[in-house]
Amino acid sequence: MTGAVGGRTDAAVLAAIALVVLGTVLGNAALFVAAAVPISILLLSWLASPPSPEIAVERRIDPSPAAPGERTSVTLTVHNEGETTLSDARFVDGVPTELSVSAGSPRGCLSIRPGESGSISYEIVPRQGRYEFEDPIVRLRPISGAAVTTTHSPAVGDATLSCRRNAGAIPQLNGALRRVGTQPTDSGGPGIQFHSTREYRPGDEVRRIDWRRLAKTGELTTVNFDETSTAETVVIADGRSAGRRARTTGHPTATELTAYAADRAITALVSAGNAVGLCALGITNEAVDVPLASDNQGRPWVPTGLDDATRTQIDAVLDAVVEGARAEPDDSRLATPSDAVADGGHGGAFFGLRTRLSNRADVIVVTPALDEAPVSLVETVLAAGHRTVVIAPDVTDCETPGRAVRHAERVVRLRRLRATDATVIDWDTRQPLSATLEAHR
Amino acid sequence: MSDYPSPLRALIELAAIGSLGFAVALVFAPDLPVSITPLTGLDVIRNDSLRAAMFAVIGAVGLAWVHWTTPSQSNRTNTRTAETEDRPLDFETLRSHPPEDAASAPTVGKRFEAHIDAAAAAARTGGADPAREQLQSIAIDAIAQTNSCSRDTAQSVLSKGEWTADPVAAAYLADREATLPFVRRLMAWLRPARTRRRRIERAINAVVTHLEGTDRR
Repeated sequence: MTGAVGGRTDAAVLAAIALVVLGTVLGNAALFVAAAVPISILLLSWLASPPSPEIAVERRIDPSPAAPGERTSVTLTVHNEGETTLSDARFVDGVPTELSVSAGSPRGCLSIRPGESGSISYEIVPRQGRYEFEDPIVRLRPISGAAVTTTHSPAVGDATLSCRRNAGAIPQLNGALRRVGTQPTDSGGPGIQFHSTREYRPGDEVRRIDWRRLAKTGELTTVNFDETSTAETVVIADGRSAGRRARTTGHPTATELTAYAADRAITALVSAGNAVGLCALGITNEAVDVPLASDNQGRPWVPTGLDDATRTQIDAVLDAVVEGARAEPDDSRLATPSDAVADGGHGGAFFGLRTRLSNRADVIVVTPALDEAPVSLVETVLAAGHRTVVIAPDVTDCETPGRAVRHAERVVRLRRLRATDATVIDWDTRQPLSATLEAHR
Repeated sequence: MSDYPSPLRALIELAAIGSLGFAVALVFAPDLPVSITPLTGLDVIRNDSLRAAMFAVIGAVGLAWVHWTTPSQSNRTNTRTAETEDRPLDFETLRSHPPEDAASAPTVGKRFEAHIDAAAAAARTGGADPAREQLQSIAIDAIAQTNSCSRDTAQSVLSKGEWTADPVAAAYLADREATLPFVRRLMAWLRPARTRRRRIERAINAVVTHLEGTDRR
């Protein structure tokens, strides 16, 4: 703690000396008397004592854990446990250096009566990871302002912000995701959802007999349910260097948001009983911590499945994508042939990926669409006859000229994608992903 | 922690308080310090120039004092506010490293902003504009999409400037700024970098407006 008389009285010292000297030299009594004013200030500063920081500070983080890119509010509440009013209490929260404040301010100036509380709040947009907050800095001054106490005040409550991919809401399948995976067919048969009834035929399952109708009318009928076509879904997560950029400093990069969107889409599909696989662009097979197949071009490939082993592999690949997202983007385009392969590369680079896709696979491409390669990818996949959904996290806007240019380029690109048969979901990353996916009918 | 002032500061403040006592003594007992009276006969008092110089010196000392006691300086010189603990507690640290800002990281559009800087610098020297070509390409794509025409046709529309209501943006992207009114050409001559930057921003706004306008339709 630093408790001290502030340097605000330095000018008073100077004024006192000047007035006394001038008064003496010029023989002017008024100047002598005027010197009493700064001298009084000096005396006051000598007599003033720094206030004691009898306060309790509590920090609340909501939500915790948070999803990448989710607006997270931090509230710092200060309770005055002393006997005197804190007339000038200034607080600065110890925001982790990796995070930036997107709304509000982590600084506050409060006046708190004994036994009462005051609070400051602000919002951050976290990246995936764990972040430790430092104790807030507190600066207290008495009402005269002549002395100051500066200290770190330990905060109770939340000291760590955990930002995880699996923290966000799982989107419902009644939105954009209903276009992929298991689909109802026009014909009726065994299933869950009612389709029609028909006359009973020997051999029909007993559980499909319409017992209620039999009781009412005596007719023996069989219930037909909606039949479903079982399809597998492959998610392609675009982790290439083009997306290793954030909207602003401290926000998650487009690649991190891509990994998050892929994770949520996969979770939603698996929870509905769909077999899901994953391929990641922008990283090599060696970057993944678990043994894995590749797509014949060195990119990690997780075959479709529903089991825990598949989920483990998917998580490992998405972790590698996020890890890759922390690398510096390569502005000079692709440096080496191996980079080119991992990065999605030039024409024909998606050939290996296409050969890996089974005929009945649907495809979800998750890409920020910050360059042209995703358009080629989607066209390649569509040409092979796969139902395709594109989820495009948007990290552009029109706040700066540079971002506005990228925004315009991206709008043009998404229009080209929409002109194909693909379903394109433009996810404004300032809004929740689940709401965007569910709103897209 | 440093509750006590430095010896120099204490000395100055002691001198100030002593001077005050002396001043008060002069006020209440003007006959007491007889030796002061001859001072009024000094040259520095009688001579206007010297007196002005004396005030100037006092003013300069005052300014030096204010500079010396500003927070950034006082961190080094003023033990009453200097930090003695491991963790910096002075708010001056928060001015140089605001808690709102995160460590630097790549952001979207930074590279194009470097192009804008280069274009602004080139405007002074008459060099090539690296931003114009890129913006032209985006504008042609936007026009081709919204008008459902080929890139060649879009190029023609861009050259004619019929795609936007902003004549400056149209002229910039059509590379015919010489056709702009005299006042605008004069401004470009007087403030080339600023004008170039402003025109690039207007061109970007025009392209975005064109795209968003068609989105709304």
